[in-house]
Amino acid sequence: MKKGFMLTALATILFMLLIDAAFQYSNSSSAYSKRISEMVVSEKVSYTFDDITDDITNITGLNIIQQESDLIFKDSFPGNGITDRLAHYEDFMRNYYLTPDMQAVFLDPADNQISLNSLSSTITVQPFNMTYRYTDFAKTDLFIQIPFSQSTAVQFIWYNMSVTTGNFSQNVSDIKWTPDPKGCAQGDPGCIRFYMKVNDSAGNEYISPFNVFDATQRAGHLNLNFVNESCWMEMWLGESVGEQYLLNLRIHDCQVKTEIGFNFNTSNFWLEFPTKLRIRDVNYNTSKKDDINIIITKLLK
Amino acid sequence: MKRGVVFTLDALVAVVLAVMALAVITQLLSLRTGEWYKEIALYNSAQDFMTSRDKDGTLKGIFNSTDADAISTLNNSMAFQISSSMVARINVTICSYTGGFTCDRNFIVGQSGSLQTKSVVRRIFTDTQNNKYGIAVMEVWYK
Repeated sequence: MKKGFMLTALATILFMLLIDAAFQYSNSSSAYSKRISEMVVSEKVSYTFDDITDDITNITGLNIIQQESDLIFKDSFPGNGITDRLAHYEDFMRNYYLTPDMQAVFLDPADNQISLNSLSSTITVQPFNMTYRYTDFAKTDLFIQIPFSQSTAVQFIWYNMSVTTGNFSQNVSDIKWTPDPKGCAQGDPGCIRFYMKVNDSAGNEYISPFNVFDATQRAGHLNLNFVNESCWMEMWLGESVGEQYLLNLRIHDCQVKTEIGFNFNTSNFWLEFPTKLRIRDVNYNTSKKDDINIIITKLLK
Repeated sequence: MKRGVVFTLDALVAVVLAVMALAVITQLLSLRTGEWYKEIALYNSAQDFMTSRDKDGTLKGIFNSTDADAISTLNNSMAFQISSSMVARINVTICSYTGGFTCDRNFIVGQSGSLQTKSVVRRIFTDTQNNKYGIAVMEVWYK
């Protein structure tokens, strides 16, 4: 009888332990499950975000490299149907790539939904508030501007351009700025040191004889003509039509590759894009919303 | 006395059952945790593979290669990059845009696993200048 009582007590204790263990299992199981699911879903959302922004970078034809205090924009002109290609990409992404649980939305700066072909064509380099922009992704022009108060942040600019569809229509030694860029004293606000080189498709090379310009003064203007008469380009360095330009470039029917590099007085800068992408997992309501940061390759010196 | 024996036996059976149940729960707990970690490892492996094949141009290269060449290239990459404890399969669909999308190429690389736990990673790759678009769907299992 005593033994029976002991076993009954033991069994009761064990069952209480069992119930406790079941509760613990249930709690830890759901907590684990939630944590792991969240981890996987958040990885999936970030991965999808990166996958799409990588492709958008490729479509825009822009490649940005940072090497300590140097920032280099490698670009190609004109845009060759970039706006249409962005629209087709969005169509394909929605109909073939995204699974029903994934949602992708492009947003303007006010967080209104937009189509990808309305992607902003302005890139801002902060904290200098310097802009690198085109009128649109047809890319027949390029405007680079910086506020006067920030101009001392730019130590040096190099403009390397290569025209792949034509040869200079005149001897490079006869190419003249009209008017010349306004000279200035290095270190003064608005005074920019620069180097400019333009190559044609035959390997001829024009190197600007000037190496400073005053961004606040009347712009220097360079007009380059090519044997193919429909191809010509012109650029202004300085103040033009009330605006101050580090570069105002117009391209007419030429295929041009550019490498425009800036040496800043700090390596602490970043790029901002007004268009955002939000990726959301509908089932878990997990999302990532961020600027469509065109990928910057960071190189060590 | 007889009633005492019945009580004792009843309690004994209860003890045995309780111990068994506890053992099963402990075992289950460790098993489930293991499955979750496996799923994450599979996902990371597939994600790394797809990202690197996209960035090194392998996926884009499929547009201009035959199915046989693409299968061979992806098989070699998988043999090199996917852990020997895993097995993977990639389903590639190639489409072109001519006023609308036509998806007329599809092939499968690798082989399926037999276990229930797997991870699936999708990758979009494009050559928009030539109106070519592709989707690669990779599934990875443990062997």
